[in-house]
Amino acid sequence: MESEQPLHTEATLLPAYVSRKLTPEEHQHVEHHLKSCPTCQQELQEVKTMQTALKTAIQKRPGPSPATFDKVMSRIHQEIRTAPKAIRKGIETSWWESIESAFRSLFEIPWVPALASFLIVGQAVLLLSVLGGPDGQVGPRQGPIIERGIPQGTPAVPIIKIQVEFIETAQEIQIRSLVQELGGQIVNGPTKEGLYILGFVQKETDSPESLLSALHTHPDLIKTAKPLQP
Amino acid sequence: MNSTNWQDLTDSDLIKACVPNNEEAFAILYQRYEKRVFQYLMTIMNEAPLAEETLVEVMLAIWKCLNTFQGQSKVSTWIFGIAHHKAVDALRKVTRQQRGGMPLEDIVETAESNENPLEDTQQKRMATLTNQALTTLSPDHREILHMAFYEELSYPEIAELLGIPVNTVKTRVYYAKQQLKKHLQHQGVTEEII
Repeated sequence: MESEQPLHTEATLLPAYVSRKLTPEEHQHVEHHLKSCPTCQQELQEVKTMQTALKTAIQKRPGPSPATFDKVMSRIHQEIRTAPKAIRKGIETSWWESIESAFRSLFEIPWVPALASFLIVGQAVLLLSVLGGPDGQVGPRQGPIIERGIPQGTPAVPIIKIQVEFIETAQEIQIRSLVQELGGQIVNGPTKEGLYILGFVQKETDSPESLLSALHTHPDLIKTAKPLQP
Repeated sequence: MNSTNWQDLTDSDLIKACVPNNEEAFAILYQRYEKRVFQYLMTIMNEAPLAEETLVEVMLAIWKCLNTFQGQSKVSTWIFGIAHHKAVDALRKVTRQQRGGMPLEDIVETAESNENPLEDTQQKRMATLTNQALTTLSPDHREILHMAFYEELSYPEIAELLGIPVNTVKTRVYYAKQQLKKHLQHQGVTEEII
Protein backbone atom coordinates (compact mmCIF):
# COMPACT_ATOMS: atom_id res chain seq x y z
CA MET A 1 0.00 0.00 0.00
CA GLU A 2 1.32 3.42 -0.87
CA SER A 3 1.69 5.72 2.17
CA GLU A 4 3.23 8.96 3.27
CA GLN A 5 2.04 11.27 0.55
CA PRO A 6 4.74 13.74 -0.46
CA LEU A 7 4.25 17.07 1.24
CA HIS A 8 5.30 18.84 -1.94
CA THR A 9 5.14 17.71 -5.53
CA GLU A 10 8.74 18.84 -5.85
CA ALA A 11 9.73 15.88 -3.68
CA THR A 12 8.78 13.48 -6.48
CA LEU A 13 11.17 15.28 -8.82
CA LEU A 14 14.20 14.99 -6.58
CA PRO A 15 15.63 11.71 -7.99
CA ALA A 16 15.55 13.21 -11.49
CA TYR A 17 16.95 16.46 -10.05
CA VAL A 18 19.92 14.55 -8.63
CA SER A 19 20.45 12.76 -11.97
CA ARG A 20 20.04 16.07 -13.82
CA LYS A 21 17.24 14.61 -15.93
CA LEU A 22 14.74 17.41 -15.44
CA THR A 23 14.00 20.04 -18.05
CA PRO A 24 15.78 23.36 -17.42
CA GLU A 25 12.51 24.86 -16.24
CA GLU A 26 11.79 22.01 -13.83
CA HIS A 27 15.35 22.05 -12.55
CA GLN A 28 15.18 25.76 -11.86
CA HIS A 29 11.82 25.37 -10.16
CA VAL A 30 13.08 22.60 -7.83
CA GLU A 31 16.22 24.51 -7.06
CA HIS A 32 14.17 27.54 -6.11
CA HIS A 33 11.85 25.42 -3.95
CA LEU A 34 14.72 23.72 -2.12
CA LYS A 35 16.05 27.04 -0.89
CA SER A 36 12.98 27.56 1.22
CA CYS A 37 11.87 23.98 2.11
CA PRO A 38 13.76 22.08 4.88
CA THR A 39 11.59 18.96 4.34
CA CYS A 40 12.59 18.68 0.70
CA GLN A 41 16.21 19.44 1.61
CA GLN A 42 16.15 16.41 3.91
CA GLU A 43 14.42 14.39 1.24
CA LEU A 44 17.15 15.42 -1.20
CA GLN A 45 19.84 14.08 1.13
CA GLU A 46 17.96 10.81 1.49
CA VAL A 47 17.67 10.48 -2.27
CA LYS A 48 21.39 11.10 -2.71
CA THR A 49 22.49 8.59 -0.10
CA MET A 50 19.94 6.03 -1.28
CA GLN A 51 21.14 6.38 -4.85
CA THR A 52 24.74 5.87 -3.79
CA ALA A 53 23.79 2.82 -1.76
CA LEU A 54 21.80 1.33 -4.63
CA LYS A 55 24.55 1.93 -7.16
CA THR A 56 27.13 0.31 -4.90
CA ALA A 57 24.87 -2.66 -4.22
CA ILE A 58 24.08 -3.26 -7.89
CA GLN A 59 27.64 -2.72 -9.09
CA LYS A 60 28.94 -5.24 -6.59
CA ARG A 61 26.76 -8.00 -7.97
CA PRO A 62 28.47 -10.46 -10.32
CA GLY A 63 27.73 -10.22 -14.03
CA PRO A 64 26.32 -12.97 -16.23
CA SER A 65 28.44 -15.99 -16.99
CA PRO A 66 30.51 -15.83 -20.21
CA ALA A 67 28.58 -18.85 -21.44
CA THR A 68 25.54 -16.62 -21.92
CA PHE A 69 27.31 -14.63 -24.60
CA ASP A 70 28.39 -17.82 -26.37
CA LYS A 71 24.86 -19.16 -26.17
CA VAL A 72 23.33 -16.04 -27.72
CA MET A 73 25.89 -15.73 -30.50
CA SER A 74 25.66 -19.42 -31.29
CA ARG A 75 21.87 -19.21 -31.67
CA ILE A 76 22.16 -16.10 -33.82
CA HIS A 77 24.74 -17.77 -36.04
CA GLN A 78 22.52 -20.81 -36.39
CA GLU A 79 19.49 -18.68 -37.24
CA ILE A 80 21.39 -16.83 -39.96
CA ARG A 81 22.62 -20.05 -41.53
CA THR A 82 19.19 -21.66 -41.57
CA ALA A 83 17.25 -18.55 -42.57
CA PRO A 84 15.84 -18.31 -46.12
CA LYS A 85 17.88 -16.27 -48.56
CA ALA A 86 15.44 -13.36 -48.42
CA ILE A 87 16.05 -13.01 -44.70
CA ARG A 88 19.79 -13.45 -45.09
CA LYS A 89 20.04 -10.50 -47.44
CA GLY A 90 23.12 -8.47 -46.83
CA ILE A 91 25.34 -11.45 -46.11
CA GLU A 92 28.15 -11.82 -48.57
CA THR A 93 28.01 -15.31 -50.02
CA SER A 94 30.40 -17.23 -52.19
CA TRP A 95 29.38 -18.34 -55.69
CA TRP A 96 28.99 -21.87 -54.38
CA GLU A 97 26.69 -20.72 -51.56
CA SER A 98 24.64 -18.79 -54.12
CA ILE A 99 24.20 -21.89 -56.28
CA GLU A 100 23.43 -24.02 -53.25
CA SER A 101 20.93 -21.45 -52.05
CA ALA A 102 19.25 -21.34 -55.47
CA PHE A 103 18.88 -25.13 -55.51
CA ARG A 104 17.65 -25.16 -51.94
CA SER A 105 14.99 -22.60 -52.76
CA LEU A 106 13.89 -24.77 -55.71
CA PHE A 107 13.36 -27.73 -53.42
CA GLU A 108 11.24 -25.66 -51.06
CA ILE A 109 8.42 -26.08 -53.66
CA PRO A 110 6.66 -29.30 -52.62
CA TRP A 111 6.26 -30.89 -56.08
CA VAL A 112 9.82 -30.29 -57.28
CA PRO A 113 11.43 -33.27 -55.50
CA ALA A 114 8.80 -35.59 -57.01
CA LEU A 115 9.40 -34.15 -60.49
CA ALA A 116 13.17 -34.49 -60.06
CA SER A 117 12.81 -38.14 -59.02
CA PHE A 118 10.59 -38.82 -62.01
CA LEU A 119 13.10 -37.24 -64.39
CA ILE A 120 15.98 -39.22 -62.90
CA VAL A 121 14.11 -42.51 -63.31
CA GLY A 122 13.14 -41.53 -66.85
CA GLN A 123 16.72 -40.72 -67.75
CA ALA A 124 17.92 -44.01 -66.27
CA VAL A 125 15.43 -45.97 -68.38
CA LEU A 126 16.45 -44.04 -71.49
CA LEU A 127 20.13 -44.63 -70.81
CA LEU A 128 19.61 -48.36 -70.33
CA SER A 129 17.66 -48.65 -73.55
CA VAL A 130 20.36 -46.81 -75.51
CA LEU A 131 23.25 -48.81 -74.07
CA GLY A 132 21.47 -52.14 -74.18
CA GLY A 133 20.07 -51.83 -77.70
CA PRO A 134 16.62 -52.99 -78.71
CA ASP A 135 16.76 -55.95 -76.36
CA GLY A 136 17.49 -53.77 -73.44
CA GLN A 137 20.62 -55.63 -72.32
CA VAL A 138 23.98 -54.17 -71.61
CA GLY A 139 27.43 -55.75 -71.98
CA PRO A 140 28.81 -58.84 -73.70
CA ARG A 141 26.56 -61.77 -74.37
CA GLN A 142 27.36 -65.04 -72.75
CA GLY A 143 25.74 -68.24 -71.65
CA PRO A 144 22.79 -70.06 -73.13
CA ILE A 145 20.56 -68.85 -75.92
CA ILE A 146 18.71 -65.73 -74.91
CA GLU A 147 15.31 -65.05 -76.41
CA ARG A 148 15.26 -61.54 -77.77
CA GLY A 149 14.34 -59.41 -80.73
CA ILE A 150 11.46 -60.78 -82.80
CA PRO A 151 9.16 -62.69 -80.48
CA GLN A 152 8.70 -66.42 -80.88
CA GLY A 153 5.51 -67.92 -82.15
CA THR A 154 3.67 -67.52 -85.39
CA PRO A 155 4.70 -64.26 -86.94
CA ALA A 156 2.17 -62.00 -88.48
CA VAL A 157 4.57 -61.34 -91.32
CA PRO A 158 6.97 -63.86 -92.92
CA ILE A 159 10.38 -63.92 -91.27
CA ILE A 160 13.56 -65.23 -92.86
CA LYS A 161 15.85 -66.72 -90.23
CA ILE A 162 19.53 -67.21 -90.87
CA GLN A 163 22.00 -68.94 -88.59
CA VAL A 164 25.28 -67.10 -88.62
CA GLU A 165 28.65 -67.94 -87.17
CA PHE A 166 30.77 -64.84 -86.78
CA ILE A 167 34.53 -64.95 -86.68
CA GLU A 168 36.05 -65.08 -83.19
CA THR A 169 37.44 -61.56 -83.36
CA ALA A 170 34.11 -59.96 -84.32
CA GLN A 171 33.01 -57.34 -81.80
CA GLU A 172 29.44 -57.17 -80.51
CA ILE A 173 29.13 -53.67 -81.82
CA GLN A 174 30.29 -54.75 -85.29
CA ILE A 175 27.75 -57.58 -85.29
CA ARG A 176 24.94 -55.25 -84.26
CA SER A 177 25.96 -52.70 -86.83
CA LEU A 178 25.93 -55.25 -89.64
CA VAL A 179 22.56 -56.72 -88.63
CA GLN A 180 21.09 -53.25 -88.43
CA GLU A 181 22.56 -52.35 -91.82
CA LEU A 182 20.85 -55.36 -93.40
CA GLY A 183 17.53 -54.51 -91.75
CA GLY A 184 17.45 -57.53 -89.47
CA GLN A 185 17.49 -58.33 -85.78
CA ILE A 186 19.26 -60.82 -83.57
CA VAL A 187 16.60 -63.36 -82.66
CA ASN A 188 18.72 -65.71 -80.58
CA GLY A 189 22.29 -66.10 -79.57
CA PRO A 190 25.03 -66.31 -79.14
CA THR A 191 24.99 -69.97 -78.26
CA LYS A 192 27.86 -71.70 -76.48
CA GLU A 193 29.22 -72.39 -79.96
CA GLY A 194 29.02 -68.71 -80.84
CA LEU A 195 26.06 -69.08 -83.25
CA TYR A 196 23.52 -66.32 -83.82
CA ILE A 197 20.09 -66.57 -85.39
CA LEU A 198 19.22 -63.46 -87.31
CA GLY A 199 15.68 -62.63 -88.32
CA PHE A 200 14.69 -60.56 -91.33
CA VAL A 201 11.18 -59.44 -92.12
CA GLN A 202 10.69 -60.71 -95.61
CA LYS A 203 10.07 -58.01 -98.19
CA GLU A 204 9.11 -58.52 -101.77
CA THR A 205 12.70 -58.30 -102.95
CA ASP A 206 14.10 -60.41 -100.08
CA SER A 207 14.95 -64.06 -100.25
CA PRO A 208 17.20 -66.25 -98.12
CA GLU A 209 19.70 -66.30 -100.93
CA SER A 210 19.87 -62.55 -101.36
CA LEU A 211 20.36 -62.16 -97.63
CA LEU A 212 23.08 -64.80 -97.59
CA SER A 213 24.82 -62.98 -100.43
CA ALA A 214 24.60 -59.75 -98.53
CA LEU A 215 26.04 -61.39 -95.40
CA HIS A 216 28.89 -62.95 -97.34
CA THR A 217 29.97 -59.55 -98.54
CA HIS A 218 31.42 -59.19 -95.01
CA PRO A 219 34.01 -61.96 -94.85
CA ASP A 220 35.85 -60.00 -92.20
CA LEU A 221 32.94 -60.75 -89.84
CA ILE A 222 31.02 -63.76 -91.16
CA LYS A 223 32.48 -67.22 -90.96
CA THR A 224 29.42 -69.23 -92.00
CA ALA A 225 25.78 -68.40 -92.71
CA LYS A 226 22.89 -70.71 -93.59
CA PRO A 227 19.12 -70.22 -93.76
CA LEU A 228 16.88 -71.91 -91.27
CA GLN A 229 13.55 -73.46 -92.14
CA PRO A 230 10.66 -71.24 -91.13
CA MET B 1 34.66 -1.79 -41.41
CA ASN B 2 36.56 -3.54 -38.60
CA SER B 3 35.70 -4.13 -34.97
CA THR B 4 37.84 -1.19 -33.80
CA ASN B 5 35.60 1.15 -35.76
CA TRP B 6 32.50 -0.43 -34.31
CA GLN B 7 33.73 0.22 -30.79
CA ASP B 8 33.79 3.92 -31.68
CA LEU B 9 30.23 4.01 -33.02
CA THR B 10 27.32 5.40 -31.05
CA ASP B 11 24.68 2.92 -29.98
CA SER B 12 22.37 4.14 -32.71
CA ASP B 13 24.97 3.78 -35.45
CA LEU B 14 25.96 0.40 -34.09
CA ILE B 15 22.38 -0.80 -34.50
CA LYS B 16 22.44 0.37 -38.11
CA ALA B 17 25.67 -1.57 -38.60
CA CYS B 18 24.03 -4.68 -37.14
CA VAL B 19 21.00 -4.65 -39.40
CA PRO B 20 22.42 -6.59 -42.36
CA ASN B 21 22.96 -9.61 -40.09
CA ASN B 22 26.33 -8.40 -38.89
CA GLU B 23 27.22 -10.70 -36.01
CA GLU B 24 30.46 -8.91 -35.19
CA ALA B 25 28.75 -5.54 -34.77
CA PHE B 26 26.03 -7.16 -32.68
CA ALA B 27 28.66 -8.71 -30.42
CA ILE B 28 29.86 -5.18 -29.63
CA LEU B 29 26.32 -4.02 -28.87
CA TYR B 30 25.84 -7.13 -26.73
CA GLN B 31 28.93 -6.39 -24.69
CA ARG B 32 27.84 -2.80 -24.12
CA TYR B 33 24.49 -3.80 -22.65
CA GLU B 34 25.09 -7.28 -21.29
CA LYS B 35 25.84 -6.32 -17.72
CA ARG B 36 23.34 -3.46 -17.54
CA VAL B 37 20.49 -5.62 -18.78
CA PHE B 38 21.55 -8.50 -16.56
CA GLN B 39 21.65 -6.29 -13.46
CA TYR B 40 18.24 -4.90 -14.33
CA LEU B 41 16.90 -8.45 -14.64
CA MET B 42 18.57 -9.43 -11.39
CA THR B 43 16.95 -6.51 -9.60
CA ILE B 44 13.53 -7.65 -10.75
CA MET B 45 14.00 -11.42 -10.62
CA ASN B 46 16.34 -11.92 -7.71
CA GLU B 47 17.65 -15.15 -9.25
CA ALA B 48 20.76 -15.51 -11.38
CA PRO B 49 19.78 -18.57 -13.51
CA LEU B 50 16.43 -17.04 -14.40
CA ALA B 51 18.06 -13.66 -15.11
CA GLU B 52 20.63 -15.32 -17.40
CA GLU B 53 17.95 -17.28 -19.19
CA THR B 54 15.95 -14.09 -19.69
CA LEU B 55 19.08 -12.22 -20.80
CA VAL B 56 19.42 -14.73 -23.65
CA GLU B 57 15.81 -14.10 -24.64
CA VAL B 58 16.28 -10.33 -24.45
CA MET B 59 19.39 -10.37 -26.62
CA LEU B 60 17.79 -12.66 -29.20
CA ALA B 61 14.73 -10.38 -29.26
CA ILE B 62 16.98 -7.36 -29.81
CA TRP B 63 18.72 -9.17 -32.68
CA LYS B 64 15.39 -10.03 -34.30
CA CYS B 65 13.99 -6.50 -33.87
CA LEU B 66 17.06 -4.53 -34.96
CA ASN B 67 15.41 -3.32 -38.13
CA THR B 68 12.40 -2.02 -36.18
CA PHE B 69 14.46 0.50 -34.24
CA GLN B 70 13.43 3.85 -35.62
CA GLY B 71 15.79 6.05 -33.65
CA GLN B 72 12.90 7.97 -32.09
CA SER B 73 13.96 6.93 -28.59
CA LYS B 74 17.33 6.31 -27.02
CA VAL B 75 18.82 2.89 -27.70
CA SER B 76 18.99 2.21 -23.96
CA THR B 77 15.29 3.01 -23.56
CA TRP B 78 14.47 0.70 -26.46
CA ILE B 79 16.62 -2.11 -25.06
CA PHE B 80 15.26 -1.78 -21.52
CA GLY B 81 11.76 -1.75 -22.96
CA ILE B 82 12.44 -5.14 -24.54
CA ALA B 83 14.05 -6.36 -21.31
CA HIS B 84 11.02 -5.21 -19.32
CA HIS B 85 8.61 -7.19 -21.51
CA LYS B 86 10.80 -10.29 -21.41
CA ALA B 87 11.13 -10.01 -17.64
CA VAL B 88 7.36 -9.73 -17.21
CA ASP B 89 6.89 -12.80 -19.44
CA ALA B 90 9.51 -14.79 -17.54
CA LEU B 91 8.06 -13.88 -14.14
CA ARG B 92 4.60 -14.89 -15.28
CA LYS B 93 5.95 -18.30 -16.27
CA VAL B 94 7.58 -18.93 -12.90
CA THR B 95 4.88 -17.39 -10.71
CA ARG B 96 3.57 -20.74 -9.60
CA GLN B 97 6.96 -22.36 -9.35
CA GLN B 98 9.23 -22.45 -6.36
CA ARG B 99 12.12 -20.28 -7.39
CA GLY B 100 15.44 -21.43 -6.02
CA GLY B 101 18.83 -19.96 -6.68
CA MET B 102 20.97 -17.64 -4.68
CA PRO B 103 19.05 -14.88 -2.89
CA LEU B 104 19.86 -11.38 -4.08
CA GLU B 105 21.02 -10.30 -0.65
CA ASP B 106 23.76 -12.93 -0.64
CA ILE B 107 25.29 -12.36 -4.03
CA VAL B 108 27.51 -9.36 -3.46
CA GLU B 109 30.55 -10.03 -5.54
CA THR B 110 33.63 -10.80 -3.48
CA ALA B 111 36.11 -10.55 -6.31
CA GLU B 112 36.20 -6.77 -6.42
CA SER B 113 38.31 -5.33 -3.67
CA ASN B 114 39.08 -1.85 -2.57
CA GLU B 115 42.54 -0.59 -1.73
CA ASN B 116 41.23 0.45 1.69
CA PRO B 117 40.15 -2.77 3.49
CA LEU B 118 37.95 -0.94 6.02
CA GLU B 119 36.15 0.99 3.30
CA ASP B 120 35.83 -2.20 1.28
CA THR B 121 34.23 -4.01 4.20
CA GLN B 122 31.82 -1.13 4.81
CA GLN B 123 30.86 -0.99 1.14
CA LYS B 124 30.22 -4.70 1.05
CA ARG B 125 28.07 -4.48 4.18
CA MET B 126 26.13 -1.57 2.74
CA ALA B 127 25.69 -3.40 -0.54
CA THR B 128 24.46 -6.51 1.22
CA LEU B 129 22.02 -4.55 3.37
CA THR B 130 20.71 -2.60 0.42
CA ASN B 131 20.24 -5.76 -1.60
CA GLN B 132 18.43 -7.31 1.36
CA ALA B 133 16.17 -4.28 1.59
CA LEU B 134 15.55 -4.41 -2.15
CA THR B 135 14.28 -7.99 -1.98
CA THR B 136 11.53 -6.90 0.40
CA LEU B 137 10.11 -4.47 -2.16
CA SER B 138 7.61 -5.38 -4.85
CA PRO B 139 9.04 -6.10 -8.34
CA ASP B 140 7.48 -2.83 -9.56
CA HIS B 141 9.27 -0.81 -6.91
CA ARG B 142 12.56 -2.62 -7.41
CA GLU B 143 12.30 -2.04 -11.14
CA ILE B 144 11.53 1.65 -10.94
CA LEU B 145 14.29 2.30 -8.40
CA HIS B 146 16.73 0.51 -10.69
CA MET B 147 15.69 2.68 -13.62
CA ALA B 148 15.61 6.00 -11.79
CA PHE B 149 18.48 5.58 -9.32
CA TYR B 150 20.87 3.20 -11.06
CA GLU B 151 20.23 3.70 -14.78
CA GLU B 152 19.28 7.34 -14.16
CA LEU B 153 16.71 7.32 -16.92
CA SER B 154 14.49 10.38 -17.17
CA TYR B 155 10.89 10.11 -16.07
CA PRO B 156 9.55 10.35 -19.65
CA GLU B 157 11.93 7.55 -20.69
CA ILE B 158 10.76 5.34 -17.82
CA ALA B 159 7.15 6.16 -18.67
CA GLU B 160 7.75 5.17 -22.29
CA LEU B 161 9.36 1.84 -21.62
CA LEU B 162 6.92 0.84 -18.86
CA GLY B 163 3.93 2.18 -20.74
CA ILE B 164 2.67 4.29 -17.83
CA PRO B 165 2.03 8.03 -17.41
CA VAL B 166 4.89 10.26 -16.33
CA ASN B 167 3.01 11.30 -13.19
CA THR B 168 2.70 7.64 -12.19
CA VAL B 169 6.45 7.31 -12.62
CA LYS B 170 7.05 10.28 -10.32
CA THR B 171 4.86 8.95 -7.52
CA ARG B 172 6.04 5.35 -7.94
CA VAL B 173 9.66 6.41 -7.63
CA TYR B 174 8.83 8.40 -4.53
CA TYR B 175 6.94 5.57 -2.84
CA ALA B 176 9.54 2.97 -3.83
CA LYS B 177 12.23 5.10 -2.24
CA GLN B 178 10.11 5.49 0.90
CA GLN B 179 9.67 1.73 1.10
CA LEU B 180 13.40 1.15 0.69
CA LYS B 181 14.13 3.65 3.43
CA LYS B 182 11.62 1.95 5.72
CA HIS B 183 13.17 -1.49 5.22
CA LEU B 184 16.66 -0.13 5.74
CA GLN B 185 15.50 1.44 9.00
CA HIS B 186 14.12 -1.92 10.08
CA GLN B 187 17.55 -3.37 9.50
CA GLY B 188 19.00 -0.81 11.88
CA VAL B 189 21.13 0.94 9.34
CA THR B 190 19.50 4.32 9.59
CA GLU B 191 22.56 5.98 10.97
CA GLU B 192 24.77 4.59 8.27
CA ILE B 193 22.71 5.29 5.20
CA ILE B 194 19.95 7.73 5.94
